Formats: sequence, structure tokens, C-alpha cells
Amino acid sequence: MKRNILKTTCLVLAACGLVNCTGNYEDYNKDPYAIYKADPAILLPTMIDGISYIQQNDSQMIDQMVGSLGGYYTLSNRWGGQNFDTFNPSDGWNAIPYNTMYEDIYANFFDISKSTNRSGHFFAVASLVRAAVMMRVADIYGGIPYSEVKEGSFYVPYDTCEQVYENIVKDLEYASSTLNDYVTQFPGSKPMGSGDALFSGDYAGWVRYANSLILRAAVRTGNQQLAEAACTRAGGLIETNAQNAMMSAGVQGNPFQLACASWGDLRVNASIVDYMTGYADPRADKYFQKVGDKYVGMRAGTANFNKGEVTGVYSNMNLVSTDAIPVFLAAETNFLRAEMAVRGWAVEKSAKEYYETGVRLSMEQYGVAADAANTYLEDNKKVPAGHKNDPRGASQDYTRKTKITVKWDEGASEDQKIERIITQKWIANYMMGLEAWAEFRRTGYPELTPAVDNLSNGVITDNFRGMRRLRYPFTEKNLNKTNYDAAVAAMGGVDNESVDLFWAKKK
Amino acid sequence: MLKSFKSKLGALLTVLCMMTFAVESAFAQQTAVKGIVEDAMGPVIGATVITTSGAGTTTNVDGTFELTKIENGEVITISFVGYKTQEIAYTGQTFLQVKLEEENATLDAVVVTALGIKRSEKALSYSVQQVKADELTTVKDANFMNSLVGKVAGVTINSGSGGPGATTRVVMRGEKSIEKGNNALYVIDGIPMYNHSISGGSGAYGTPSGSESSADINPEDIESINMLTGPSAAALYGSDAANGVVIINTKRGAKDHTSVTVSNSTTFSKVYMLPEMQNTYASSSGYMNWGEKRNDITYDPEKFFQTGTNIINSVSLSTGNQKNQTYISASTTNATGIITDNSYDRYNFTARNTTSFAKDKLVLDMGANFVIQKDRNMVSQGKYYNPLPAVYLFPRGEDFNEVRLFERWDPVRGYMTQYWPYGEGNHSMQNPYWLQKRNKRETDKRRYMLNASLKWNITDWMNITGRVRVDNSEYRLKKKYYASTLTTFAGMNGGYEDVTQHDRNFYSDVMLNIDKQFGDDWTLTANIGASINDQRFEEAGGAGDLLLVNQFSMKNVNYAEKYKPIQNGWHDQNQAIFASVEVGWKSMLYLTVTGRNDWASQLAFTKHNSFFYPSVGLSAVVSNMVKMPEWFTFLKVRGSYSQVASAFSRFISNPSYKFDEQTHNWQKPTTFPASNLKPEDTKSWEIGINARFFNHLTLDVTYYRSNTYHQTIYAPMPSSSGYKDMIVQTGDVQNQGMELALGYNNKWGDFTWNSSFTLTLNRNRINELADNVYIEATGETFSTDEIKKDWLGASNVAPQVILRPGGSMSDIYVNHELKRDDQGYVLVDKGKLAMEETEMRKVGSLAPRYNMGWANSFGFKGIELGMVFTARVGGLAYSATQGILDYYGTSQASANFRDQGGVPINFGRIDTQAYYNTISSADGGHGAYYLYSASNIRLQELSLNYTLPKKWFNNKAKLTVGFIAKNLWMIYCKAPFDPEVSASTSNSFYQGVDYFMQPNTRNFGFNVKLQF
Repeated sequence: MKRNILKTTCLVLAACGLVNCTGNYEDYNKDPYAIYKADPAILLPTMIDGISYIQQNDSQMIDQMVGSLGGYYTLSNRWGGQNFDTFNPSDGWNAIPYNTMYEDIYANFFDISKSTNRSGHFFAVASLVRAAVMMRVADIYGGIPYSEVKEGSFYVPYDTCEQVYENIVKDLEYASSTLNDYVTQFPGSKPMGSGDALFSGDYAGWVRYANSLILRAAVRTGNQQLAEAACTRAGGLIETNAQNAMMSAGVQGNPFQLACASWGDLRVNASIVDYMTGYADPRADKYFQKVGDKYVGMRAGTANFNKGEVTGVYSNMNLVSTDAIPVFLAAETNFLRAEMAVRGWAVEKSAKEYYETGVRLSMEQYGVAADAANTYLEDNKKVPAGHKNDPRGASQDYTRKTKITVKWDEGASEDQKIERIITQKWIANYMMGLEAWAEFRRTGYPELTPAVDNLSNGVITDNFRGMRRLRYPFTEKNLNKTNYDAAVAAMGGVDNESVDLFWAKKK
Repeated sequence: MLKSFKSKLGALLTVLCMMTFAVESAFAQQTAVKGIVEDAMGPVIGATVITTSGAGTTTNVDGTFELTKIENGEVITISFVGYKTQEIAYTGQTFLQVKLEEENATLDAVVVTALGIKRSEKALSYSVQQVKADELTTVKDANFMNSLVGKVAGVTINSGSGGPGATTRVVMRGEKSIEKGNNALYVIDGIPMYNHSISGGSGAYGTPSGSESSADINPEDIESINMLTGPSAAALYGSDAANGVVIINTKRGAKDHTSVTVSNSTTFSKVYMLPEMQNTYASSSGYMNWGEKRNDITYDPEKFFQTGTNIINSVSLSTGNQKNQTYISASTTNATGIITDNSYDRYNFTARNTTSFAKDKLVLDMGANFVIQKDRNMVSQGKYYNPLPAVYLFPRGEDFNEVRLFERWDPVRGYMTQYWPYGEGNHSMQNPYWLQKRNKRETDKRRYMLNASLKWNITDWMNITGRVRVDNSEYRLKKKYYASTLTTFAGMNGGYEDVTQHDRNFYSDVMLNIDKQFGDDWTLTANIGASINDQRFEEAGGAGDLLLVNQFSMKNVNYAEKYKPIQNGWHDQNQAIFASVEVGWKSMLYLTVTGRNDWASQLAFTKHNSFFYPSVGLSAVVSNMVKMPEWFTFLKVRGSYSQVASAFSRFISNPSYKFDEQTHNWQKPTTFPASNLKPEDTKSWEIGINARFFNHLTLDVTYYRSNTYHQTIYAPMPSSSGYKDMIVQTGDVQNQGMELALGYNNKWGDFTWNSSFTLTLNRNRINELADNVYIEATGETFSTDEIKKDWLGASNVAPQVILRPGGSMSDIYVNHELKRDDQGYVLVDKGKLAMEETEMRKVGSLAPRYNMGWANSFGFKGIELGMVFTARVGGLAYSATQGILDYYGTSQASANFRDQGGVPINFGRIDTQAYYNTISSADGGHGAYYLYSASNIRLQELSLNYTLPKKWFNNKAKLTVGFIAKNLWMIYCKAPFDPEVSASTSNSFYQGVDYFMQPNTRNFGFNVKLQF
């Protein structure tokens, strides 16, 4: 009996000893279908998407919703009734642009910084993309954490709006020079490969994009010296339509098309339709689809309507799912230089020449014949239309005041010249809603139809000027309190949508 | 008491007889006798066997005993708590087979505890509740867990809203874990089962529900179910048991008896508690029913629902002799839901054989199960895959019969296309028939379970058991979207998704079992063992738009655009050694100590490679120790303390780059990686009593408290850090409460009455979320006082679950109110109201304050009337549906206010549409205005069975026929939907929500059962 017990005990212990082979555990605890090492070229596409989202939800929540303030498209869905165009976005939605873009950029940027030891062409592209995306964030919110952001730092102080721009420009200059050197040294080399939705790996394209962004930033902030330098940077600006920065819709399809055609959440804005109808703009049939025999724009900023009421009533954007999204166009670099010339900054050619080149490039981009473009440019009669006979009734109508025409008038006032340039730039920059909203805040042009219903609770007093920024996300207020408080104090102590950013002081 | 007194008297008589015999048979021959003590379920362990001469023993782990010195004429007394004491006169038999019969009016005294070991109930230091087979099979459900509602204390069971066979939510003693699941563990014949549950998604865009592994079990194969509501069994089952365990004991063949059982259960289900909708005001535009009052509107949404059927047939055979027993069964379950084209079909085949050989030294038990299951077009809730928004919101005044012809020939496209002239509205609406017939969701499953155990009886008090179980399933999940489906879901030519999944589960253990008596007073029961549990999951497939119209093949998918590659897999392994030692003294005091050490694969890449957790329990049968009043028959007091450690989720100690199926991009995770991960920890204690008095009353009360520490949570970070959240191990979630079961049964002539009442009460409290947690990677400390969880519907409209220290896991907050003026009156401006966004304000909790169940069974000469009432008291429920119906002017409430001339506000009335279009939206009503008390009382089950007199069949057969009904009568409920139905059973927070959820059903039907 005793022996039996002993034997049994031995057996059990042996069994215990045997089963405890945990040598394979590191294999088991590994996702078999994921990667554990990532080349920068693999991580860059997610960052690049932040420049203008292709991802459908991000595009909707950021480029379409906030971008609707630029006057190109209108949200044809009211969801819970708290929308940007009625000036009462919910805390949740208000936080999305900030949080999404930070999260898409930084985790990847930290990884690339580490693997490249903060040098070389990959790091230059990552820095460029980070700067480009953060410029979008800064244009929406104002001062943001930028120069102090680093891996493992949980509570980051804010740069002021001015500092963000300075630092972004520094990063763009660094990237432009580094990549230009690379292009000179290894012409034709495309280390990013197919993951580059903007330039298919062509670094010369990235250099032109960086230089053009510097120019945009310089004009936005009124920095003459910087603007003049940007025009002559090595690698040049985006000058031809072939050089345009266009975001490929890739495997996902164009998100604006999806929102219009599949979801029914987006329609063409009354402002752009009215302007282009007034001008009999030949690009209109490339931009919009007709309802019956005409383009019907939908006015933004109506508080309460049912999605059914606006379905099939207003025009859709004229897109197919493979259409790329414009990010930076040759037309814009010409309009930027036209504005410089008007302001008396040193540029090569005259304001008229840049202005007309800008319009012609845009016409060319949309396949409009040169003759038609010339006719358009010679027109000094047609003015933007008002909004009349809206399908939803007179409450939606709007009488437009501006009499700005297309034809360049050297004798016009500086302000009229600026309006003319900005108006045409706005038409050419179709779909780039966030950029249009920034330029609208800076210049006061074009004359967008004001919100019908202002639900801001008194924060916004002028429906035409509208929201001047978004308030900081509640997540920053809750989770990064000390730095948030400091940033608000630096801004003047108020964090709401009525605060003008330093470059947007125009009344 | 009387019984106990009788047995004492019996013992006294036995002693007297013994003294007499001692003299008389001084020269009689002494021999030895062996025997086995069994009950209806098999061997009884620990039964007391005493002879007239005073020699005694207890039965060992396989129920056998041996008396070495016995003489002819002696009386052997076999007793065991809960069973009638038997006396057998010894007349020279060599083997005694003793069949113990259960005593009436007692607790179920023998319980199957961990790893299939039967234990005397009096030795248990923790709460175990037993449910007998007939409670499962009287009123059958496609998912047997739904038959247990209201029958067990400490358990909350919410049936899923997906239709027949849908997943069920089973939470014991409150929710403990913030990130991990809170559903109970299922154990089949002592072996933990991996429950692959396809729970419905949460929120407006959630995916529909499927079924789950536990629903595969044929209720006819179940002998009994034990519910271990506390974590005490974790020592033997491992960490997953921390949420409580459902122990399923299956049938095996009977010895020397052959029986065949054939049964049929046919039930019909009708939609119940549909929202109240109007049909007097016509459509004003599209889905808005704010138009003129008319009296010719005939549309009735209820007519969309059909009568569901559930037909369950089963046949089983049980046979065997002393050496070999066999059980085989087959069953079919064919159910159709109340929504067209929704079905659930299951076919179960079971075989089990138990053989003893080598002079009964070895016992081999083998079983095999094969399950074929398929479900079609399940509907749970939300906007997607749900015909109900279109059915409810259908424009009043339009002709619904028109859309019954859901597809029509399109001469241009050359095929049948969807007919739905009303647009998708706000809820991606399609023709409801199209959605069920041409947006097909199909799941096909094959499951194989094989198990074998070999027991070696080394001595009469020691054995070794080795067991192996394989449980593999293969799933095929397809979605077929026909061309002209909304382009939100598929391309112009249709869409197709095809995913194959595999579960591979392997479990094996070896255990040394000792059951020995030392002297007269001491018993020792010990189990020492080791186990390995290996689980794998693999999934592969893809989804995309079609190239050729309606050709559903992966060869015909457009891979260039909008293609979604799906491939996932994991492999978890857990190895453990464990021991449980129980020491008993004089059958009245028991001390149990357990310990377990786990090596879990999830711990790889950390400093820890294993974790240990102990438990200790004490049980005292007070009624045996002190003199109790006459009427107090039995009193046991018990208490236990246990710890359960568990591994954190797989992969988090080894984070990879993440792939986005939509963008096809890899990215760095936005979760800041964890450093210095440790296993998680639950500590709990419970005290309880089991008592019997007046012969007819039983009382079982437990008070418990558990705290879960070091939870691995995702704490929100300011995104300016570059991260969305970080993994922090912290927190303290406490659950304390009481479970009570009170039973009564009595007999008056031919009339019997059994009654049991259960009470479940739990209080959850978050003591701490993260308070100055040291983050090793950065040297910083981290605190958070808030974690936001699910919105109960659309974000920024519905209430939100927010976790805060001092609050609970079910607290809900709202952040919108009607704007008011300084005096507190609702602000009315030109006949309009306005909502304003406010700080998050706590409005209550989703959790019930307590649940009650009351089951009754009356018997009279073969007639059995059963009734189960259940009640839930307290907690809130949110109806997004009601808000949406109000917004569209479709609800009856909106018609009533219109009839009255508006909604009373302040001192006047305001236009009904203006009111509802403010407090509600197309995405749901604002939380503050659409919360309801979730309290409800209902008649959960009703059954009337008649067993035909046996003599009609020459005593050869038993035939029972009956009428059965389930959820027949909602006696009290103020919510506009059934708040006990759960749309997302695996989600810990998205509960008590109706977002176009499939309504509950009222079921009734009949049962036929024939045994011979």
C-alpha cells in the first residue's frame, strides 16, 4: 500500500513537472498576422491620410463637417441637432479633429523618429507631414502643443498660434532642403513606393509641396520676408497641374462621393453654386450634378430639417469613387503670388499675370477649353448670384451684396483686388473646405451665405463671420488641465468660438 | 427534526440490538462484504455505513465501501444527509448494491462540485445552487440558459434580442471587470468550455447577434446544472471562474435498466410589447408623420411580424449493466423567428459509454458530441441589418402592401431590383423584406466534442483520474447583398462577405483523489492535479463589392477597391497545478483549503511567468453540534475567502503594429504600451447559512463581497501626448450583496406544493480608478478620475455610461436639457424650445436594485401546474426607439398630444412637433427625457402537464403531455420595451437600451414526452 502511494505521488508530480513546458509561450502570445517591425515607409501612409482624409469616417467628421464652413458643401443630415454650421457642435464632435489628427500623426512619428534616429529622407517626409497636418489643427483651434510634443511626455505645453506657425515653417524648410538634397543625389529614386497617396513616392513632388506650404503659411500670417523666400526656394513651387498635390482615393474610394451618393449626408453648398451660376462658370458641370436641369445648392446652418426633405432636392458633388482629392494646386501658388504682388511684396510677375494664370490652370485642370477660359477671364459684367427660389422656401433665400466680377481690373482698390483673387482661389480650391474656411476668416471673402440658425447661445454674434475657431477639445481641458489653462490665458482668457486667431483679425 | 429524531431513535435501537446480538452471536462466523452506494446520478461519496456491531466506514470516491468484520444477522445502516437512511439485514451477501433515495423536504445534499467531484453539501463552504433537468426541459428554449431565469439566486440572466438561439447574458454577483467580459464560465462535466459567443454589437451601427457555444447543448442531455455564483471554484477551474460558473452535468447510461425517452416540444411565439404607434396622422413629408388627421390609415406595424415556431424533437436511449453503460441521444431544434426569414436550426448527436474493467480497478468513460447548427438573418437592434426602422417609421397613409412585393424587374439593369420608394431616411432604411431576403446573413457551424476519462482505483480510498477533451468548431459566416442594396452596404452589383472561423480547444488533466477516514472522527478528502488548457482561434476571409451582378463568389469580388481582407488568430495556453484538501471532523466541521498555480501564455514577455491563488473555507453543521429547538432540523454555517488571479489579455505585453482593414495601412498603436504588467487579482469572501425547519422550509442565504484589483484598463490620455490612452493596472471594483433562496414543499394527500423564492441583490461600487499610478517607462505618476464608456445609442444624444470613483459600473449620465429661464421655467421663444448642452449629470444606474423569482409547482394525481414569476426592481432603461418615434410623429404619444392641442409646458401648450423635434432627434431622444424605470414583474413561465396513469400502458410506459407558456404576461412594466432583453450580451455597459431592438416574444405551445 505504502509503495502504491509513493508510486502515485511520483506519477502526479511527474505529470505536473511535464506539463509545465512554457517554452512556446512567446510564440503563442504573438499576433500571427501582424507585423512587429515596421519600416517608416509602412507607417507614413496613415500619417499622410491626415493631410486630407480618405478614411471615410475621419473625412466626414473633419474635412466634411468642419470643412463645410468653407462654403463648398453642406451637411444634409442633422444627426442629434448639434452641428458646426449652426455653431453648436457637441463636445464629442468638437474634439474629434484634434484628437484624430494627433493620434494619426504622433504614435507613428515617434516610431519613425526612433528608427531613423531623426535623420534622413524618411524622417524629413514624416516631419513634413506632421507639419502639414498640424497646420490644419492649428488653423482650426489656434495655439496647440507642437514643439514640446515628444515620446513619453504625457502633459505637453502649448505653443502659441504664432509659435506653431514659426515651428511648422522650420520643419517644412528642413524637410524641403533634406528632400531636395536627396533628389539631387539620387534622382528618380522612390523609397516610399506605392504607399504614397500624394506623389507616388516622387520626392521632387514633396519638395514642391513643402515649398508651396511655406508660401501658404507666409501669406496667411502676413510674413513678407518668408513669402518672398518661399518663392525662390530650391526645388520650386507647384507650378503645373501635373505637379498638383492630389490625394489618391486608393482602395477606399473618394469619401466625399461616399457621403453624397451612399450616405446622403452631404450636398453642394448654396454659396459655391450661386457664385458659379452667377459667373456662368464652365467648371460648374465638373463640380456639381444637376437636379432636373439645374444646379441647386443647399444653404448651410439650418437647425432643424429631416433628411428626407433634402434628399433628391439639392445637387450632389459630381464625383466618382476613384476621383482624387485636391490638396494643393498649381492654381493656388499663382493666386498666393497674385496677392503678394497686390500687397507690394517682391514677386517675379504682375498680379494680373498670376491671377489669370491661376484661373487658366484651374480651367485646364477641369478640362475646360482655353477659349472658354479666356472668355471667362474677359467677363466684367457677371456677378455672383444671390440664393433664390430655394426648394425649402423663402427662409433659405439670400440676397448677395458683392458685385465682384471675374475680369482683372488694375484700377480697382487693393481690397477689391484681394476679393477678386480670393474669390477665384476659392473656386479653384473646390473641396478644400478647411483651407477655404481659414482664408475666409483671414480675408472675409468670399461672401458666404450666413447661417440661417445661430444656436451658439450668444457666443457668435455675427452669423456671417460665423465661428472663428473651434474651442479646445474637452479632453484637453480634462486631461491636460495645467497646460490648457496656460494656453487659454495666453489667448486672452476666453476659450470659445468667437476668438479670432492672430491671422484672422479681418472684421 | 422529526426525521432526525427518528434516525436517532433508530440508532438507539440499533445499539440495543447490537448488544443483544453481541451476546447471541459470539461464536458466529465473521466475513467481509463489499458494496457500492449510489443515487439516481451515480456513486455517492462519503455515505456512512455502520453495522450493528459498531464497525463503520464511509464510502470512497467511487461510492464503494468494504466492511471486513460482519456476521450474519447484523443490520447495516447506510445514511447520508439528504437521503433516506437504509437498513439492510446481512445474510451472507458478498456484494451489496445500495440505492439511496432522496429524502423529501431536504436540500439537494450531494452536489457535483469542481472537476466533476461529488461532495456532501454540508462540507461546502460556499454557495452552490442546483437546478434539476426538469426545470430545463419543461419549458424549452433554443438556448437552454433562458429557461433558468428567476430560478437561481445571485444570477442575472438576460436573453439576447437576436431571435431564437441568440446569445444570452449571464452575470453572477455583479460586474467585476472594466475591460474583460463579465459573463459566467460554462463547465461541462468538470471541464471548462470556451464559449464562442457572437454577441450583437452595441450602438446605432452595431452588428447583429449570432449564437454561442453554450446554446449548442441539448437540454435533454443535461442531468443537472449547478450554479457556483462565487469565485470559490476557481481553484479548480482557473481564472475564468472568477465570474462564477455554470456547471453542466450530462447524462450517462443507467445500470441494469433500459429506457427510451422520446419528446417533442412545439412552441409558438408572438411579438410582445411592441412600441405604441399611431395610425391617425398621415405623413407630412417622407417619414415625418406630422400631416393631417385621417381616418383611412390602416397600416399596422404588428402585421409585419409573423408567428414564430420552435419545434424541438429528441430521442434518447439509456442502457447498461454493471460493467458497461451507454447513453445515446439525438435531437433537432428548428425555430423560426417572428421576423420573416429569420431561423435557427440545430441538430445534436450524443453518445456516451462508461465501462469498468480489470476487476473494476479501471473505469473508462468516453463521450462524443456532434452539433450542426445554422442560423439565418438574425436581427438584434440598431440601424444596420435591421428591418424594424423601416417597419416602424413607414410613412402613415402609404400602402404597405405595395412594398410586400419587395423586388421588381428592372428592364434597364436586367434583373430584379429593390422596391422602396421612400428613401433611406436617417436610418439607412431599405425595404424590410428586401433586407431579410436579399441582404442574407448566414452562419453555418459544425462542432465536434470528444472526451475520455480513465479512472484507476488504486485503493478503495484513492484513485487517479486522467481526462482529455477536444472541442472543435468550424464556422462559415456569409453575407450576401444583392445588387440595388443601399450603397452604404454594397457596391452597385452587390456585395459579398465570406469568413471561415475555427475554434480548437484541447483540455487535459490528471488528478489524484483521496478520500479517507481516520479513526471515527476524521475524514480527509484531497484532490491534487495538473491541467493543460489550450485554445486556438483562426479566422480568414474577406469582404468586398461584386463585379458580376449577384454572383456570390470570392472570385467575383472587386479586389481593387473597398475590399476588406479579414484574417485573425490567436493561441492561448494555460497550464496549472492545483490542490484541494478538505478535512472533516465528526461530519460536522469541515475545513477546505485550495491552491492553484497557473502558467498562462498571456504572461509571456513580462517578468511574471505564473501566478498563485489560494482559498480557505470553513463549514459547520451547527445542528449537529448544539442542541437546537425541535423545529430547527438543520443548520449549517459556512464562510470562505478566496483569491483569484488572472492573466491580462493576450498580446498586450507584446504589442504589434495594427492593420486597418479599411485603409489597408499599418500603424503604430495609439495605446501607450504597458510596462511592468502584473496579473490581475480578485479577492472575495462570503458567509452563509443553509437551514431547514418545520420539515418543509429551506433557507439558503449568502452574503458576499468581492474586490477586483489591478485591472488592466485603458486610461484616457490627452491626445497631445500622441496617444489615445495608456494601459494602466489599477482600480478597485467592489461588488457586495446577498443571495437568498427560500423553499417550501408539502404534501396533503395527493396534493403537493413546491415553492421556491430567490432574491438577488448586488451593489457595485468603483472604489478607485487610477490614483497616482507609477508609470515605470516615464517615471511619472498617472491618475484618472473618469473613464467614459458606451453611449446608449447615438453619441451626444443618448445617456452615456461613465465610470467614476464612488460611482458604479452602470452609472449613466446625460448632458442635454431643455433651456430654462432664471425662474426655472422652460424657455419658450416664438413657440420654440431649445436644448442646451450641459455638464455631464448623473441620472441613475442601469443596474437593478434587486431581482426576485418565485417558482411554484402544484401536483395532483399526475397533474402538474408550474408557474414562475420574476420581478426586477430598480434601475433605468433607455428607449431611443420611443424618442425616434416621437420625433417622426409616429408614436401614439405624439398623436395623443396632437389630439389635445399640444404639449403642456409652463402654463400653456406648445406645438407637439416643436416639442418632440426639440427633446428628441432622428437618432434618438435626449437621455434626460427618455429614461424609464426598468422595474417589471411578469409571469415568466406557465406549464400544465399531465402524466397519464401508468397502468394504461401496462406499467410499461410513461406519457406526459402538457401545455407550456413563457413570458405570457407582463404584469407591471413602465418602460416602452422589455428591459430584460439585451441587444449586446457580451458588452458590460450597453444594457437596458432599446434602439429598434427586436421586441420580446410571448411563447406558448405544448410538450409530449414518452418514456418506456
